[in-house]
Amino acid sequence: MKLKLAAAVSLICATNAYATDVFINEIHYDNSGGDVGEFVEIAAPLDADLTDWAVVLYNGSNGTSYGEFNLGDYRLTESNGYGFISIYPSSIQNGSPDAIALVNGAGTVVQLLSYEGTMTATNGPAEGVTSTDIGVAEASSTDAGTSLQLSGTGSVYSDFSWADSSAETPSVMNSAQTIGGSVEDTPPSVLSISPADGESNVAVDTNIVISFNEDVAVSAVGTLSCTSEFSVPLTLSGSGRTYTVSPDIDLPAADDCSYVLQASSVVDLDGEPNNLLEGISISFTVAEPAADIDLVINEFLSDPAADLPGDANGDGARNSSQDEFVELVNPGLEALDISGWTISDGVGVRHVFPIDTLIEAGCAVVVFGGGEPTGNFGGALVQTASSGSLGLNNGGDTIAVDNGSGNVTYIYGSEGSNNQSLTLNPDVTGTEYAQHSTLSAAQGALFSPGTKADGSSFAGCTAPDTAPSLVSISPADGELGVATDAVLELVFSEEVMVSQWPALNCSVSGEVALLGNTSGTEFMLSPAVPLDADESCSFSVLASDVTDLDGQSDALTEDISINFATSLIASCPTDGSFDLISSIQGTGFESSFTGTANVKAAVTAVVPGKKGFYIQEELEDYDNNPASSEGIFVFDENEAFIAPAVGDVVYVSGSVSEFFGNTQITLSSAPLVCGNYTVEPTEFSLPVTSSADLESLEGMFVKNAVELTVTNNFTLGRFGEVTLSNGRIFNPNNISLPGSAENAEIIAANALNRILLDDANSAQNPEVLPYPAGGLSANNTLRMGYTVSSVEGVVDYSFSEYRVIPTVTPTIVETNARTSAPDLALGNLTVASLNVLNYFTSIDAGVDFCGPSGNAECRGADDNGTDSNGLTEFDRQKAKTVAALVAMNADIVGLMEIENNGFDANSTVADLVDGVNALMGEGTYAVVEHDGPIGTDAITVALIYKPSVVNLSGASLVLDSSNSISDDDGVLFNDSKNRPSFIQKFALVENGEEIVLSVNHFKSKGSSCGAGDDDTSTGQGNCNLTRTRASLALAAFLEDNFADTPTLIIGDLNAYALEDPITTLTDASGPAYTDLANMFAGSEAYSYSFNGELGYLDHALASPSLVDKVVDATEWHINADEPVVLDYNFEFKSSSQIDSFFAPGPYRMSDHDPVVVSIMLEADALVGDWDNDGDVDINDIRGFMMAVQSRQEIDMAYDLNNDGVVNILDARVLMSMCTRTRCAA
Amino acid sequence: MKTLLIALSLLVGFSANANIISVSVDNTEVQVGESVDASVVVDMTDAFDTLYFELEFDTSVFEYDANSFSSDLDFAFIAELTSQTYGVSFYMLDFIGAFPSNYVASTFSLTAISEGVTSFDIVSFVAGLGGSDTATPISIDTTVPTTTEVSPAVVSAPSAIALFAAAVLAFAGFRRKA
Repeated sequence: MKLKLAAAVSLICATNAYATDVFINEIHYDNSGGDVGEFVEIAAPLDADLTDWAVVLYNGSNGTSYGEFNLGDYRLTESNGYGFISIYPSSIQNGSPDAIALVNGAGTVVQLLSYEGTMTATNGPAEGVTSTDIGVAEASSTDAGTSLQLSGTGSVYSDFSWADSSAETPSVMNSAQTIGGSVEDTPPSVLSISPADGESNVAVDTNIVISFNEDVAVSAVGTLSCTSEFSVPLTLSGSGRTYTVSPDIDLPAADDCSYVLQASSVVDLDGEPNNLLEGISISFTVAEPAADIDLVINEFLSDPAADLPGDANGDGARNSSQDEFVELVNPGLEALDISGWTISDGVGVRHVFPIDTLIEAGCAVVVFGGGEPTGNFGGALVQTASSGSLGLNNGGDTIAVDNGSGNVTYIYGSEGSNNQSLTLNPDVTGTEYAQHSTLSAAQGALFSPGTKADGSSFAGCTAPDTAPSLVSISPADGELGVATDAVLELVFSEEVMVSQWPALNCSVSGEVALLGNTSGTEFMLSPAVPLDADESCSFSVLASDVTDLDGQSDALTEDISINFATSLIASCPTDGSFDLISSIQGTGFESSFTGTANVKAAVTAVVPGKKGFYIQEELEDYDNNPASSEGIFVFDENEAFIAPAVGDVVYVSGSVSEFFGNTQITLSSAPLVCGNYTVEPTEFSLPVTSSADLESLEGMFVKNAVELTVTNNFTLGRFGEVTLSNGRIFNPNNISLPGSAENAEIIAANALNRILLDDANSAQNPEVLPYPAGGLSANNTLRMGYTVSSVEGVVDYSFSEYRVIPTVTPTIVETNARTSAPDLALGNLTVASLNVLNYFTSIDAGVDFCGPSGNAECRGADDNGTDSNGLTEFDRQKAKTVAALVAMNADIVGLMEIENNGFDANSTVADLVDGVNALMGEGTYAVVEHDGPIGTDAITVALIYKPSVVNLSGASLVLDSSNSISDDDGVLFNDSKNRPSFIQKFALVENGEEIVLSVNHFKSKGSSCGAGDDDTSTGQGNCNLTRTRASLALAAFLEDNFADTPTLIIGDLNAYALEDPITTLTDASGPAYTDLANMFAGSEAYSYSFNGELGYLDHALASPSLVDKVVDATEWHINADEPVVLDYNFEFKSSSQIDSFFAPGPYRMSDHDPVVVSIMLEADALVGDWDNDGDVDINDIRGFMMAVQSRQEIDMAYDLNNDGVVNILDARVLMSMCTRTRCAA
Repeated sequence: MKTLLIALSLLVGFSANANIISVSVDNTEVQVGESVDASVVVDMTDAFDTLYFELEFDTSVFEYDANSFSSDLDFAFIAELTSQTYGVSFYMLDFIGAFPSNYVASTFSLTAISEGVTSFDIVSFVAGLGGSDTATPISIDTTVPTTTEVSPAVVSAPSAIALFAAAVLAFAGFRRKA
């Protein structure tokens, strides 16, 4: 039968979630790589009035909403006679699960659809509503440009079904969809039922969940019978397509159960009523009771070591997620079926053991995070996580093995973060976990998945009898400079036997017999006679000559064949026939030495990251000229030679060259060890008198004579290095007038007061950042201002910087520790200025669509996926920014660098305020509104405030080019370069006192504004004139509009304290604003660091009428001192660093420190208010006259008629000053 | 009964066309516990809305009876006489002011609380006519004395008797020598 469907009409008041003709029609939320083009499509009749309808995004992890979009802001696009709206949120979360609500104009939830599971909303319009899972999902492997779509024919949501990803069709009808047609009225059927028929290990508290292909009504609950509980009482719930049958009691453990629902109990709701074609009947087995779990978590790895040493799954590549593993051992005497059991971490289920997973008694199963596990793993079962990862956090997590009715759980902490596994000690029977490499049986191994710590199989596992293989051999194939007395070392994968070792075949020595053991796993073979210098040798072993000893005799997997060459140098010089380092280094910046150098000196440092080592003359070989260095770097270009050890006296030979200014000897032969010598460090101090002082130490072993201070950490993350100085150094223009003689002296002094502390690693973005001790992390920071009491190492010169490569861990002291809040004496109003570093809620995916014109780059957070906690870059930026605002707790905050998309409820600044209010209470902060975006830039300034503390007094004002003063050169405020100034007068709630706030962000020093505007001589940088003229315009504007009101100028003026734009405002003969940062912190004030020099671009300038009311001002150093690598970004960080470098606190939320000012705004004393009750009335007159009559000494301020005496005539004047008629009290 | 002797001279010295203040008491000899009525009169040749004077007397001898105060100027916004450590003080303030005339600024009673002699001196006499911002002082004829003294002194009974006896004895003695 055909059923003609109802005409498409608007269902504004729809309450049936599945009968609506306005519905969610298409979703895209995840794809491979960074998520791009995420959207939600709504389908609706073309005449639908969607005013006040909304789409609300819900976070499945906590049930809270994270985005709301008013459909009234969109217009329906027609496609095949129906309307569509596509919404592109900045980010749609990637499920497991998350949900999307469609809410009508009356606030009723029309749909709450989820993906990757169900959830219950805990706030917002859908609070308390449980979602419906659409049953299809996207994943990190889904192709970009695809989406989940409804398919089928019909007019209302229930007519369609969700289909897997296919090519996206935003704002047009889906490709497999026809809306407005007719459908056949067919009987309902069951899409899925859980537990499935035949399933085992079903939880004792399971529910039976039945999904139908269309909306149905279920009239009976059915029957559930188990072995020992014939009739289990049941409760039915659900509607539409999904119903849940809930046993009122726990099911008997280990019972076999059967559930039956008659076909007649289910009837569909469309057209003619149809029953199921056949009834439902399933059987399942309930899990064993909890006490029966006999499984041991014997070993797990949450923090695979860097590079190949971390390749636990043996697939040839180290992956921080895939190489994680959990090893479970069955210690019982019976095989254990763990089909359906799960492994979970603190987030959720990570692995479900597939059907027929049977662990033999005494054997083990290893579950890796992923990859392609390669190896025999001691004969243990090997699986990879069914969810794609195990998600074990390095810093602590929970591992739970659950059989549906009980679990085995282990919780670990930071001990999980040591580049190795934690294993029971001893295996299986131990009660505590130990770091794998610390066990003697492990022999230094970092893990042993599938085997005991010593690498042997568990008792119940049978390792396959594989052929032996060569694990390592020394000398390596192709090695040069091998010592003439070298010993060959071979290591095999298992114990082997060798019939006879073949002889070495050398170019000079001929055949040389090798002496050593013939069975075992490790072999040390000594040549029968020493080899000659500078000869080549080969060593070959047939595979068939090496056989294993276990099971059947297996030969080596392949033949062994290596070639190597011996050292050019055969012996150490016994006389003075070698070159002195001082003669190579000379007294200049570059060596004048030519030819091959032959040097005998002591090794002071070995630096594998630089492919070489440093040597220094023994004291007796010094030339006693302090201008020439006694040390030098020895470069092993091809890493062909075995490095000597510190303390060795070596004889080296090679060519001398300057490598970007660093003098070095490039080895042409293996270094020959001639003895031992300990070099004592040479002391150095900062500042030096000239750069030649450091050049004279190049290559030498040194230690500091004075305490040093970390003065720059900008490249700590990128290159592992920090700059040290003697005390902190400041930008010259912050503490002296640009162009002055003093300024020039500071510039010169700063240049001589720095040296780099190197990490001995030339790689970019190193995985391990060694400073401070323990390695850099979000909670183990290295702030500028920390002091270094001891640093000892060798001096090197590269990338135009002298640096110390430490030979021992420097001693770093936290002398400039973080504070949890600004240190500020309070008044009755607190104002803050905060640059939020490109805070954008709009996240582009390569297309510029931001800014008032819609074609500017969306700065700030990028679409780079999520961290292991599911947080996007923006999530992290928001968390840090909100934390800073909450901690400051200012009453008014001026913001810079926030997305310029208006100030209404959908604006970025409103989103930020929502984030703050979520922590501090609804309504704590509000946005100072303005009609639309300000100016033309992608970023703007903004003001937020606490309505409980201040009221807005009048409308906000904007200073831009349109209302700026002008001179012969045009308008002074150029808003094509400066961001317009935003100004608001506030009135204190407690007493009505007023203050004007002007928040600003002047043109930066970055790009050029042209000749005459750019300052090229005094360091004030580009666009100095643009900024200075803006200051003049701002002062004039404030004077014109708010001359009688105390005024505070705040913001990033992109000028240091004594540069023209600031001195223009502080000019005592001009605007006479007071620099509050300087007033309270003097020359030590700073909010920004560039090139290690401190200063402040972020200002708080008080008008003359305000300055006396200022209680305190400070710059809260949460950003300028912190390493940039601790910000929210993912760039230049490994996956583990993305996690370990992030904390949701305020530190490094931006590159500028906030400026915080406290003010006491009190009404001026009312003249004549004798009793200080805020008015002048008869009581004041009487009080005054009592004083006159009793001949008290009275303040001459009461000489109101200015006749030089205070008497009753002043009382008569006082009567004219009464605040009420006839001085009524 | 103890006898108080009070002597009061009335100052009434003026010159023509001057603003003059004077004080008088109705009895120059009273006994402890008895009262005298005092009056302060202003003869104003200028309009005024502000008037102030301090009347000094020995407050160990007389005590002001606060319930006894009356004034021709009681129409004013404020017209008050208050006791002070030096005597009493009167002030009058008004928004409109008074025409030039003769006014009894204050009449009040003083109760003798101990024997003694006191004078009644008007000091700090100030008058003026106010405006919105300043009050214009009204000049006072400074040729007119504002204080006076009376005698004999008030003498308490035992002391007077003793003094009298001493004087009699002395006089008698003198006479005997003669």
